[in-house]
Amino acid sequence: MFEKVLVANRGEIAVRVMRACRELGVRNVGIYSDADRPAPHVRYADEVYNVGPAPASESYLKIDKIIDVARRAGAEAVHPGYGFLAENDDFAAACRDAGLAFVGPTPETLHAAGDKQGARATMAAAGIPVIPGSPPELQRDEDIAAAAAKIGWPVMIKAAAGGGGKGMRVCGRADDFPELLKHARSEAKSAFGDDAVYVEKCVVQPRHVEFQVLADEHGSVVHLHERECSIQRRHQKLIEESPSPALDDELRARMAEAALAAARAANYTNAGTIEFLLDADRNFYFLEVNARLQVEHPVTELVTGVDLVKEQLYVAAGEPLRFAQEDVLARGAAIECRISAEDPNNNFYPATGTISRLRIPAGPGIRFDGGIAQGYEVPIYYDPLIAKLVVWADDRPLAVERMHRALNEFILDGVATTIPFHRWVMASEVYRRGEFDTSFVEKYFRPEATRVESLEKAAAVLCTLLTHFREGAAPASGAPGRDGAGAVDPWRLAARREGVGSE
Amino acid sequence: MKYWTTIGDSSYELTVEGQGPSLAVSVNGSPLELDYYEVARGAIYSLILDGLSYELWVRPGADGGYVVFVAGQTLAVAVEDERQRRIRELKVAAGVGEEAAAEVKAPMPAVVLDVMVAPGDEVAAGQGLCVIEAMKMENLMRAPREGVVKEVKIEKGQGVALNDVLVIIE
Repeated sequence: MFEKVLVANRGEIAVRVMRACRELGVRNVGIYSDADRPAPHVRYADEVYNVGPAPASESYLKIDKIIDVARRAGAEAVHPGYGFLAENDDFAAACRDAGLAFVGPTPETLHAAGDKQGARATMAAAGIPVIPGSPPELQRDEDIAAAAAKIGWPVMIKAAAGGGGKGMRVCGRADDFPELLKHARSEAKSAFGDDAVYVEKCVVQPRHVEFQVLADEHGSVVHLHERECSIQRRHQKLIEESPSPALDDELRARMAEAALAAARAANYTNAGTIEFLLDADRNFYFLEVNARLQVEHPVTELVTGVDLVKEQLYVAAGEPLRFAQEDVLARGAAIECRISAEDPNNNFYPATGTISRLRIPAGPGIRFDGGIAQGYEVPIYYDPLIAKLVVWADDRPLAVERMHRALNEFILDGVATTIPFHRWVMASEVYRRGEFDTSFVEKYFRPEATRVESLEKAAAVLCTLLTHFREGAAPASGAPGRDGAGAVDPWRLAARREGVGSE
Repeated sequence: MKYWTTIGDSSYELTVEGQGPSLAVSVNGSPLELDYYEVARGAIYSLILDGLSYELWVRPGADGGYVVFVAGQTLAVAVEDERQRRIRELKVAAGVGEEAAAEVKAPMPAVVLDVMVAPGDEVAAGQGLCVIEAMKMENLMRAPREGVVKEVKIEKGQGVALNDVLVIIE
């Protein structure tokens, strides 16, 4: 095992990786931008170095600076987390050239996985079902439009270099295509520095089901079961769970086989995810390889008991997998809610602000992965994901109840977050039945649905009383409890309607 | 004392009489069995309303109002007494504060990627006015109603803060 690892990321995932390092007795080295000096991951790190100004392009994406920090700190390996440079083959190659182990696949695998169309061709050749789409070399607008018409509407326009919903558009008819193509290209350009796009068939009522794989450098590959990620908005996942309510053992086994075949076809090493779309008739299609640790990896960790970050480090250190496929058992059900600084009452727009109060849920079966603290100002420069609340229970209904309970305990004030949205999902009958697809949020969610009348009434009563007391009717003076209890606790006000009261 | 308390588009009429042990509260005419406990002054309160227990975290909000955090919800609460209510009603009757023009404001801090309209343009409700980008997501800002563009306050490439006026339509 390594003695020192650089964590080339920020926020909750940097803390997550550093925690694994701590438990393994590995020293961790953090990095931060000027905007992140106050960030909790900076305080959590054993050693930490500034890598530049706030914009990610001048700090967290600066390959030479990060390699330089790793060298100077004497790190032997670099863990990229997710996002930023995690799937950047130039970065992986620069690590290798600098004699650093990159905790992820090889630059060659990353390059191949990043080329979405090439990856699809590889998978099709390996016998894995893929969604019909336009070939990579097709880049003239009118040729792409013609390919889209041939595939049949609706089609999806996707960034060739990207993921995470950026540069992605659904187009239902030829008339809308030119404008949507323009937007997709410009978003792809700004997110990935490359405006190449492709189109593919839109699968109807799709569920997003993905398989976690882990492969060592000695030819062994295992899967760690699936994650259901259909609760999305604008192709951004909001809630993930394992197991998927849509799979039975037979379908699960077939998809797992396809995932293992895909990992082998991609010469995959380290932890990765094979994403599939599953349609209403239980056909599944290969979507893409996510060549990194996923945001939603904790649900897999909770059902399998495997610490994926530690296993990533063992694999990167050249060790063989420490368990075989038959050792991987999934038990119970896990759910993750992504807590983002986005306002569900305002079209999920990113929100900023200072976290004035924070009380993290606790009790049986709760896991909290966060990069926040009381007094922390959420910066506008980075992804709005600030924390993940994850629960485990014996089965899915119990896990849903547990998540609902945990969300009710959660106090995170000062910045709008997705907490009210998650409370609404956990109470939704459709969600509880497990009968949903990726259109769930669009179809069922309305901002006003998060409102709970009894809570509003309680808030109205409290604020009216506070105003009443502020305007002269002091609660303390002349307000001893009826039997002297008020003398012990002068703030207590017992108000009982006349004629009522059991005392 | 009578109060009108609003949260979003819900409003409650409350009366608060007496104080201390004889404090009596009713909401929309129905008396309420209430127990009030200050856990941390100006910050955390416990209410028991008709036997139901609530923990509420409160802080000062805009215009003398409150922001309450309860069970995962953040609520902006405004409380008016009779005098404040009367003043506001008089203002409304006099037309003070009514806006003839619709302002399209930035819903978040962002960068302007594109501006599609110019002063004098006629726009339909829902028509795209400009595109702004924050946290790597593009958002098309649409006209809230039909009208004529009176003023465009932004240009391409510019940064905007939350609630900055982007376009005015009249």
